[in-house]
Order: sequence, then structure tokens, then C-alpha cells
Amino acid sequence: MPKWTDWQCIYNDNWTMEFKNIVRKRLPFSTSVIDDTMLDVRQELAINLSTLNEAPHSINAYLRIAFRNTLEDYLRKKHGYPRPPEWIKRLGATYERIYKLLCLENRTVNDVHASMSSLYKHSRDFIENIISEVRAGVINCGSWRETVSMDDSLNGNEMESSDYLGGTSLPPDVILQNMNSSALFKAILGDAQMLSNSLHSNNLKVVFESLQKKPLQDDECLLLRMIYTDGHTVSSAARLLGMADKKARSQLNVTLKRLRNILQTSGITDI
Amino acid sequence: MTDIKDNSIDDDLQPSDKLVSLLALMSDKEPPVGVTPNLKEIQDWQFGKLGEQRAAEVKTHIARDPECYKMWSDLQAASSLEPKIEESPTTNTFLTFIKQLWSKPIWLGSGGMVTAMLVIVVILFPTNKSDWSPLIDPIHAAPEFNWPYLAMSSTRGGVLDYRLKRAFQTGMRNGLQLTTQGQQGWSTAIDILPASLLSCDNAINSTQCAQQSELVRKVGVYAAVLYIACLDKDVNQQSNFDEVFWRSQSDAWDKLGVELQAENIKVFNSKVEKLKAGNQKQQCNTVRDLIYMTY
Repeated sequence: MPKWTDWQCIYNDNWTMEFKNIVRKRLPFSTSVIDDTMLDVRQELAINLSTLNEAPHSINAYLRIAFRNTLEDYLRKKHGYPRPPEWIKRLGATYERIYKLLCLENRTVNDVHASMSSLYKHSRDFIENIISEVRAGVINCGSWRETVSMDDSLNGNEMESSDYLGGTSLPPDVILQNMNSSALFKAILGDAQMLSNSLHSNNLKVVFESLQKKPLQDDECLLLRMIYTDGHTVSSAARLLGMADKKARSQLNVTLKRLRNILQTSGITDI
Repeated sequence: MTDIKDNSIDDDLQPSDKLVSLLALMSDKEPPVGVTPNLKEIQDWQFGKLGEQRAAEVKTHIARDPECYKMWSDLQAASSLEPKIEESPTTNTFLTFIKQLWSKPIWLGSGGMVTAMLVIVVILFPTNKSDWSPLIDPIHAAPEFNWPYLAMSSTRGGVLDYRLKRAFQTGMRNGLQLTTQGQQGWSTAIDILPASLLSCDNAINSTQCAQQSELVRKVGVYAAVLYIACLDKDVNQQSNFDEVFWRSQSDAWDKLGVELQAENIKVFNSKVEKLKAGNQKQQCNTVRDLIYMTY
């Protein structure tokens, strides 16, 4: 079977610099290990790329993302670099990116804005909201490096990575780990305190179980993710999903109404 | 750059709607259907290149598996960046040059081959690099016949823990893939080796188990690359490895030795210590013994 061999461009000076920059951004406090990490990760990437039968579309984008993903795998496997809490992972890429910047790398708010704006034209308010939510909702956000320095963690002394269970069928208890739900809800709702008071950790399990009994469809799931966690407008989400704008709006309304009904039947009446 | 706020004026997103949505997404537990797609397949889905059934499966994964959704989201973000790096003209020109050289053996004298190898050395092994770059097309069919197969095992009966043996073999598979890059004649040698590590989920110390497996897999990668270089050297009747290759792989064994010692994997560490101390011929003998030991 023919193979795609032009991936060897990853050894060029340009890509070497790009990969080093990615590692440097990811490990800003560990300058001593950047070169070795880049070389190890690039070799893992090479192993993966050598199995491809054809060139990916948009090679530059592919190589950047593939390197980043390989770096994340490497940090987890080799150094026990902590994964985001499950609830953050479930909310998707933007929450996860902001969690990493804010809680693992202790970046300033301005740094987070600068880093995020290099990827998306998110509105400043949208990012600001997620920063507030992550700060409020993640227990011990930013204190990871106070207990274990990044360099120690890179010597293999970091917290157990095996506490991450993965998968989709996790019980509510696991999803709610490391989540300060009342602070998170207050951050989302702002002044609408009544709802956040009625929705507390004691009845969240019941809420989750009720929602799980009537699962979202794929399109519903994607629409909610794109609009509420990735900051797309309804129109841009519809366009990316190949839906008519009107249909997307109608589907969004139907979905939200259905979800509210489920919550009301599980006792959250003021929603 | 993806403009995701292009039409927000008619969007009236309420905080309570957001809360309802986040709760629904957090609680979702519907399993995606089919094999988890990799980045390439997600990109194929984005460009409409998949068949109907597989496209539906991949969509389910993107909708429900946060890892897949993140890959899709990252792809959109990266695709919309201004391209900073074009495909390297250096490599492409070089590849073309090499392909031309080997496709015209009549005018390619030994001097031409030396030149080609020199260019490989200069381009693929810059002196500041300590990893082992894959070789561009230097491996021809002949070494494949010399590659050891399972029947050549000298240690049947369990000198090695099976998990580590399998990790090493998985690494050899990776090393062979990396070095031979799908050339004809290597599929048997590659396919006979396992594609994945044994799970450490049930191990007493799963973290240590996973780290050891990864380390031994890496030793397998380096062993396979070195042994192929040994076979290639013999077939081409060269007396020495390329100097940069020799230096970089010696550095790599030093690092691996330190890691093996830290993990207390004695059976591999003793071989790696020999590799570190040996000259090129001794290295080839030792790495051959190491590979036989794990079959």
C-alpha cells in the first residue's frame, strides 16, 4: 500500500521551531526539558505519521494539532501531567484550553486572553465568562504547582494519572469531582441567585440521572457545544454543521425547552 | 481565523439557557458508535470524504466524545490560521532528488550514491539533533530477509515478563514502521509484531506499570532502528555507521539507560549498558541479542 512520506518535513528547521514553541508554551516553567520533550514527542509523532497511507488535508493544520495531541499524551503517560476534571473535559475545547492556561500554568487573565485570541475571535466577554466559571468551578485551580513543582512532575513525581477513568458512562459522582457546583452556577447566572440556590450539589445527582434518561441527539449535542461552550453564533454553528439557519434556531429552542421540562420534573421548578 | 461572532446580533443567549445546556452536556453518557476516529479521519469527515455510515459514526464521536470534539475544534482553529509554514521546499526538492537518483541507476555511479548519502546526512542529521530521524529510502529488500522472526527466539520459557516483552515488540513494530515506511517486503516483519501495549488497568501500581511499558516500548523503537541500520550496513558492506547517527544513537542509549535504571528494569538495563559501552560491531551484536531475547 502506498504511504505518505512527505511528513518528514517535521524535521525541517521551520517545524522544529514551531514544535519547540508549542512545547515552550505548554511548559513555560520548565525550560530545561523543552528540547528533550520536543525530540521525544516528535519521534512519537513520526511513528504515528509513518503509518498514514495518504496525506491529510491541510497538512500544516494537521501537523500542528497532531503534535499538540502527541505532546499531551506524552505528558500524561511519561510524567503524570494531570488531566482536566471530567466536567471540564465534557464542556469541550475552549473550557479545556482555558483550564490549562489558568489552573495548570497559572497564566494571568491577560495572558489567557492573548493566547485564546490567537486561536479564535472569541469576544472578550465570552472568554471572561469562561475564566470566571473555571476559576469558580475548579477546586484548587492554580494550586497544582504549589504542591508539586513542574520540574518535579517532569521527573515522574506528579500525581497519579490513573485517577482519570475516561469514557462516557461515568457516574455523576465522578463527573462532579473537583467541581464547586454552587460557585460555578453563580458564575454562570450572575444575579439570578434563586436558581443557583435551588440547584445545589445534593440534587445535582438526581438532575444528571434525569437528563441521562432522555439523552441528547447528536445534532442537539453539537449545537449546544458549539454555541454555549465554544462561543459560536447560531448562524456559524449551523453553517459548520451544514444546517439551515432557521432549522438550527428552531432545533435549539426545542432542545432547550425539552431540557427545561426534564429539570422541572426533577424538582428544579424555578428554571 | 474563524470568525465565530459574525452574526451575534440576533442571538439572545440567556445565562439560564447556558446553565441548562452545560448540565446536559456534563451529564451526557450516550456511548458513541463505532471505532474512535483519529485526527486524520476527523479531518476526512470535515471534508466530506467518508462514506455515509462511517461519516455518521464519526459525527457521533465528535458530538459525544470530548477528545474527538476537541480535535475537530482544534482543526477548525488551526485551519483558519494564516499558514506560517509552507511545505518545506528543502525536503521536497531533496525527495525529488533522491527519487531521481534511484530511479536512474545507469548514470548513478558509486560517487552519486556517496553524494546522495552525504545529502541524507547533511539534511536529515543536522549536528544539533539528538533524535534518530527516519532514513529516507535507504532500506532495500535485502535486510528484510535478515530480520529476526519469532522462530529465532533464544529465550522461550519466560526470561522476560510478558507485558515487557510485548511492550518491546510493540516498540520494534513502531521502529520498523518509522524506518521502512511501508516499503514492500516489510509487512510480514511488521504485522507479526503487536500493535498495542497490554493494559495496566488491573496492575497493583498502574501508573508505574504504564510508565515501564512506555519506556520498554521506546527501547524497542530504538533497538529496531539500530538493528536495521546494522543490517543495512552489512548489506551495503559499509565499515561504519554515519558519524552523526552513531553519536545521536549513543546519546539516546545513555538516556535510556538512566531511565531503565530509575525504573529498575534490570533485564533490559544490562543489555543497554553493553550497548553504551560497545563499539559499532559490538553494538550490532548486542542489539541483535536483545531482539532475540524478546522473541
